[in-house]
Amino acid sequence: MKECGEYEALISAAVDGAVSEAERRELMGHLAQCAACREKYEQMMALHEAFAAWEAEEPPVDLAAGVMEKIRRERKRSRRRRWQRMTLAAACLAVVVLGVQTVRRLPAESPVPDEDAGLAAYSAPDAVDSADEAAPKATLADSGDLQTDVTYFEACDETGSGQGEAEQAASAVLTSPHQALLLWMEENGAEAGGESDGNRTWTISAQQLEQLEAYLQEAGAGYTLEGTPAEGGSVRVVYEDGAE
Amino acid sequence: MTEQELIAAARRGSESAFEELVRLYEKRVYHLALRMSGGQEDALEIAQEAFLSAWRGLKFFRGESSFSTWIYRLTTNAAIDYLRREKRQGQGISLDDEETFVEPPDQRPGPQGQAERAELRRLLQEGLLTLSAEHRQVLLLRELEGMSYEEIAQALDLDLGTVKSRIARAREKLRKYFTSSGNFSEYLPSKVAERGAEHERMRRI
Repeated sequence: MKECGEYEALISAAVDGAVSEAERRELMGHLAQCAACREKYEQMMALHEAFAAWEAEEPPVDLAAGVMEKIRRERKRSRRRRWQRMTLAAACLAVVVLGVQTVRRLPAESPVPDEDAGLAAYSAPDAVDSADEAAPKATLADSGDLQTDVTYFEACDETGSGQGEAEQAASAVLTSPHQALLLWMEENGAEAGGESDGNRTWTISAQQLEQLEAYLQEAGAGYTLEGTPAEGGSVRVVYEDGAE
Repeated sequence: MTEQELIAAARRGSESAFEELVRLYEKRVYHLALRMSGGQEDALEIAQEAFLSAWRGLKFFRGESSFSTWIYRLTTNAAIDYLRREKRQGQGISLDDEETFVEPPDQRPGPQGQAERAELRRLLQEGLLTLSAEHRQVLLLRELEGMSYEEIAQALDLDLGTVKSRIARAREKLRKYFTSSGNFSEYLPSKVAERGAEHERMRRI
């Protein structure tokens, strides 16, 4: 013969219909004789019904959107972390922008930029660590009448020796170990040009240059932009040596 | 796409597939989070955390349990963690130590009809918050999501006996909360039905 307290678990299980036939009979036998337990059973049953009648409230309309926003931010952060790891190996990079009126495609057979067209190249060594996630390829944005081609130069080599090639403006096509920048080019649909000497080239629009600036700033990897991309002007991106 | 296909696509990294899953489950997840926390802002935070956990943990979800069981577990665990972090209701009460005196609810005269239902909901939520988060978790998984004892045991990695006794203790504490409010029977759905002719008391979303 059980104490009343011992029937508590059985009563609760009976509310859930989770009792065997034998258990149910035992319980009913006890309830027939015990008003306190009978009341307990009825009250627990009432609570069970109250839960069933409790309507679900509508969630806030922006719940799903908020979740997806957080997911995207998290993915971007992890991309940026990858980016920063890759730039640790780099020495420095300079970017020079020549203002032009139109976008020109760098001819495949002449890797050296056309001086008149002010064509530009961001170059990187052939062996590229491509992104390990599938990033959607954006199309080159038509940013309006005036588009600016971008020339990237490496102002110093791996040992950080100085501003060698930068002064030679359009004629130089340089290499850069900054594969993260390369990743940015890919992800933002920078128009890929030709290839030579293991170097690859891209052109981007003025609008994309702005986005690139923002990206570099956000990443906080010690890049600075010097100059202005006005017509004929130039922009240099310099990575501070040793900056993390 | 079926739910299975959505899950498979989301596991491969498809954000749009995952967003579909979020929309499928947001109502239940939010409801559960709301009952666990008692507050709308808290519930929003908890629900978002739960879905974020689901996104991060998708690669580990192999479908041994159903997706819904998994997400409800994530939700209630997210609630427990959140409440602990924010030092809110119920976190200070340990599982074994719920004999602390709880201020009984206001003794109010029984209102009529819809107001009575609102009163019942209020008491239910308040009563829930007097439980420890772990007790609240098992009781809500049982009562709100209709999970069986076995499903709960599997979801929370507990044994069956523990689930059974934990639910019983949770119910008993809730029952005591109601009896201390005065006239328990005033708030019984059956009584409300008698008085207010509500035919929707058994409606369950």
